Amino acid sequence: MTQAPGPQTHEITVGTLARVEGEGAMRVVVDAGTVTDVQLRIYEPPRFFEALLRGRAHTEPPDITSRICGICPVAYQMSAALAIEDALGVVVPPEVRLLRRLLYCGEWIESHALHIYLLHLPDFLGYPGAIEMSADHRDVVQRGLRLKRAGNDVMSVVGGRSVHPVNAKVGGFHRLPTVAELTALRPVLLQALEDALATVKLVAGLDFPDFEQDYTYVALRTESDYPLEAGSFVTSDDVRFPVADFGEWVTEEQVEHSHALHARLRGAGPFVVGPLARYSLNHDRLPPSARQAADEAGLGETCRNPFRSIVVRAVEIVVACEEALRVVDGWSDGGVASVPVPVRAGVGHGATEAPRGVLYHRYELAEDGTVEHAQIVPPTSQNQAGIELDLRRFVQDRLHLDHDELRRQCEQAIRNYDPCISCATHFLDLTVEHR
Amino acid sequence: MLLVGVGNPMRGDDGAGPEVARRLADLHVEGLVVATGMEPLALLSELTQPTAYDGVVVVDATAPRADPGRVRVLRESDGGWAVPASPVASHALGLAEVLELARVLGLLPPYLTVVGVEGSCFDLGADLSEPVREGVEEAVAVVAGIAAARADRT
Repeated sequence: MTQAPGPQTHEITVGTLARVEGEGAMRVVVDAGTVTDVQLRIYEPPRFFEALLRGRAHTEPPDITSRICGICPVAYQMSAALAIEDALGVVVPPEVRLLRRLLYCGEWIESHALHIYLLHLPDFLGYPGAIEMSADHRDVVQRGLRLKRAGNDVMSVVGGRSVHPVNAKVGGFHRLPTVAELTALRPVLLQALEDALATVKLVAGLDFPDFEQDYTYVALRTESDYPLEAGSFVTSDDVRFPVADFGEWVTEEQVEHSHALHARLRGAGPFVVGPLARYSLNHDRLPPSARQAADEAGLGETCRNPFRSIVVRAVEIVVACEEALRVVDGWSDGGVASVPVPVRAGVGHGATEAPRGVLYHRYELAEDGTVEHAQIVPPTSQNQAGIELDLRRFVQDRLHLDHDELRRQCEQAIRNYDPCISCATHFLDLTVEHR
Repeated sequence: MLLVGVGNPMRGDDGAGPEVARRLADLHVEGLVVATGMEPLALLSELTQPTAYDGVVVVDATAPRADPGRVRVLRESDGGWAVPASPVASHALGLAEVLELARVLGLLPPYLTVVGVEGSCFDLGADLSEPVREGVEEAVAVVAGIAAARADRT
């Protein structure tokens, strides 16, 4: 961090922001004691996945887009598959929907465990990183790694491998696992559930800044379950709209300081997606153990303190473990792995709940199924404006801190969103400026 | 003994580790369990498995230093590897960070060696470069030699 001298203005530049996926920069401008501007800058070159998809076959988007992120490839596969199936009028059987949910549970477990234990917890416990924290909290980190591995095991059994799974496709799966294969996951998931509940207890006891924001939340919601692989949109203003109307409600705009597009919700402006939004809009959809854990953690029905997102993530690991066990216990052999996918021209939309929030895909297909147009709106891009709003108020209240501490707390505030800048374009680096 | 080949086969010479692992898996070297991973955290996952390994060899591509294909064998006892003071990425810890994390957590087996193959081209979609192909041959022989020596000892 550097500081350029000046009577009333100064500038602080912080190097690469560690412990967020990708590279970008956060720039906060403070002028005569007042925060005047906050920018989340993303300077990694765009990766042009949407252009890359044009001209490809309708069968390819799930596998191609899964390569956008090594942490949430299932989210890309699921949203892409739903969108293509929507365009082609394909309805998958119940066992496929269940297996998609199980695969997604694996991704939630491994992604949330990684973020909680290796990326965010060091902030709360006052360590520069996971290595330093591990020296004093070996058992805690071991538990995190065990959880992450449980998620990876689910992805390996259902998806064929733990990173960039290969078993999912448009219309279903290449192969369904057997009862024996899924039953073998049971002890792993029971241990994971125990570890997840211990995680909730651990993070519920952390110290959280007194910081709440009046967010507009956006998440998916289903008829009965906590949203992962399906649902339609709901907002904290009780606006409801189907996935197909996403483009009418959410607009993306170019901003000068970032390669990622900023999203705005019609009638509300900046909004927030992710664990806090999901939880606050679906508290009544929590399975029993997760609801009890949330209650004991003192979360309440809604949560507007972004620093408590670490608690919500822990509760969501409980959700994923419970849901995974539900699918495993109810599985039977002899199901249909996939349905035929007749080709036709059409437009399709798909949205699922990636660990970091709603991931939306839209495809236009030609008569022969060729992708003519693709649109991908990842969660971090939707959250960027919300992160900037957080930082604006957060820094304003902390201008009395010395620069190093202010920087550390800003980094922690950004990590509240587990920003996957790689998904938003790919590579993040933090800059905070005071003038 | 566990062998882990780390790297992304879709990024040119970064695929050296997985290629060495693939070749060794085909050779069915006695006493050698072979695993590959896109990124070093995969190694940590392997080490947290209940199965205890008495030794680990990690094969990874190393940064270009004007000698592509050169194979370097690094032992922790020789001074080990420096952990970057400021990690660039998060969700993908570097190999040195993962090894240090494993050491702190008490997961490292008594024997640990890193075999590096110096890369030159890490472009998306590229194949292994010719010098790295030759380096892969050498690395396979090095690891097979280590496995044989350790098998003889036991």
